[in-house]
Amino acid sequence: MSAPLQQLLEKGSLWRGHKGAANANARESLAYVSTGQVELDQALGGGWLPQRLHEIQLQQFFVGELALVAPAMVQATQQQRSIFWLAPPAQPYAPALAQLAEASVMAQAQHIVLRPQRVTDTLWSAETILHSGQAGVLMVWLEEPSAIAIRRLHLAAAASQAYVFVFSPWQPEEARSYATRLRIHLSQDSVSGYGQVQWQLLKRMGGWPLRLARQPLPKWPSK
Amino acid sequence: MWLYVALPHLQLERMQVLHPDLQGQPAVLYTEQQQMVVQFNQTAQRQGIRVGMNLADAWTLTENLQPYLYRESQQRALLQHLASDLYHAFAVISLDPPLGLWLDTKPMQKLYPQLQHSLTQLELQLQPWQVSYTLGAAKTPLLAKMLAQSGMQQSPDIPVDYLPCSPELQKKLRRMGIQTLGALQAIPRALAGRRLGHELVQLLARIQGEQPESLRYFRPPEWFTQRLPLLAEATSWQALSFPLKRLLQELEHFLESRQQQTRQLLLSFYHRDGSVSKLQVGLAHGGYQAEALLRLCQLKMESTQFLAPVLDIGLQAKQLQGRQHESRDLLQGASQAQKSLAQLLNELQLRLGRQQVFGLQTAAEAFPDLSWQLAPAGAELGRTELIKRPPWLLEQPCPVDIRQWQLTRGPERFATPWWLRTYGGATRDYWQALHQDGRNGWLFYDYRQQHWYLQGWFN
Repeated sequence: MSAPLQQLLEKGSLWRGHKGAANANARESLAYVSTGQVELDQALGGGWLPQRLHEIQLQQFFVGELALVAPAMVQATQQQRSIFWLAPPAQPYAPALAQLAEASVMAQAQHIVLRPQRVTDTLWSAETILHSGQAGVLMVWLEEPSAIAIRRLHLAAAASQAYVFVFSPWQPEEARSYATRLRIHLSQDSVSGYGQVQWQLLKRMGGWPLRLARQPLPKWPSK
Repeated sequence: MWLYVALPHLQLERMQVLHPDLQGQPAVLYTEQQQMVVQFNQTAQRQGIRVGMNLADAWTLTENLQPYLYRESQQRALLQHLASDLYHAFAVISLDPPLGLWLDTKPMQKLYPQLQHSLTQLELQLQPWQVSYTLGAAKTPLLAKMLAQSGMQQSPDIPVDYLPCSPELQKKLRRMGIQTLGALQAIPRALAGRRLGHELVQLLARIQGEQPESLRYFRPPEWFTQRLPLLAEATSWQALSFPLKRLLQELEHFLESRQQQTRQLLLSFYHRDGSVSKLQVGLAHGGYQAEALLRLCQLKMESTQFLAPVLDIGLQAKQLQGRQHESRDLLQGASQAQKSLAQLLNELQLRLGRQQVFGLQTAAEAFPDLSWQLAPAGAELGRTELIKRPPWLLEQPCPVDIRQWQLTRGPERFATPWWLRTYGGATRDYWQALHQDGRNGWLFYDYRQQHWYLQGWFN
């Protein structure tokens, strides 16, 4: 294989259609951060990648989406980078965020919440944050992200070191500049009544679209 | 030893630095009342223009004359500004508005033992200003000033015209055939006093240092205020950005020498009809670099309607404070950041509004509504002793129908003391509960309201 091709593979910009043993080694070197869920990690080849855009589609908020981001938050804090919440649907609750890992680590976390009034401001803020290089994790809640907006965010994310997540209602499945498109289906256990989720990967790196088996609703991990 | 620095064309030369295209043209400053030339540049000098000449006469000497109004206040401000620069090298400065200032070299003798050292230092400080000046060095301030103004090397050669006294006295002196200071000093003091009056005796005493001069010493300003006249009326924000950059560079220099940063900029735009419009740029996290400040000002300008053509712009820096330095771990390698967190937050807050960007912090309280607080953006999260808390909190607890919920874990009772303002005297039982759609919520039963509320979400 030619050297430039190898480099692209190592960076994760390019991947092979099938998983080979050699390929698995190359993937390990990428800066994956876990989703906190074993099945999802496997399906995604290790978890979330930085510098990429990850879409999480939800019909309702609070269906375990934040738990998937929690390990990325811990890592950002360890790397002394800030965590940005752009237009969240409710107030992130500080005591729960502080329980995420050892107190000595999480006490230094910088959570910055932004509540823009308009969508244009939200997108502008997201780009500004990513271009500044200060963000470790950026979470953006958007109602109807346009293809252009996502394309711009994708470029900004590529220039940063951050894990970028876009939360939105269910979107049409046409092509968008996301690295991962995850749709969360909520259902109930017919016996106990406890919530269940099914993760549907509309798009992922290194694999075909996939529906995972039902799982109990992931809870916020706390020490 | 006193040094006097005479700056006969300060205001005009300053304009030339800011507007370099003026240099090739004969430019003068004139007073509004008498229409008299007070300052001119070299090109004008070559055309034969002199100080005190009528503006009409100047017009006859050269057609493409560029006349600008002389501003007394501007001149004083410039002198102040110059003095604050010289203050880097000289401790004792006294302003002599409008055209010069004194420096005392005596307190600096340890640092600059020879007069030559002081002069080199002075030249170094004045170099960036690109102004022409004349110097006088003498034992007394008055003598130094006369030397600088007359351009003479020796004090006896100073013509009597430069004596700071009434015109009648000067006339008398000349009628007596006394043309220079040397000739005057040769006359016995008592005789001169009898013939020419008490004024002259006092003057001579001041010149010879027998009577101390009462000078007011310069203190460097604590605030930055500057005003820049534009050559032509500006009719858009774009046209203003270049002169504004100049002002911001001056500000950076000012802040740099003090190791300070500003948290508020006040831009004033002066219009032809005398009205002033103001623009305030707040920087919650401080700033001092001209580039960054310019970007913030432009952000603000873009969102503001341009009112009327602008003649002058002014810049004021407020809320100066010491700089905070971001320290980084050397071992973690070079930072990837394009700009500092403070810079980023400034930009975000300027566009979104200060209230819309904030940080989160834990508080040492057990009661759910009080165990967290909004903090300035960039604050650290802090510790907590609480466990089993949900990551989401609803800003307002919302009343729920308990029939849709199944309580799974609890209760946890909180009773607040009566003296708390908002939550005083409340008794609540908190429960983890399962909603009928399968999500886990955080409910409480309020005994005062006798109702169930949803406080947060666990998922």
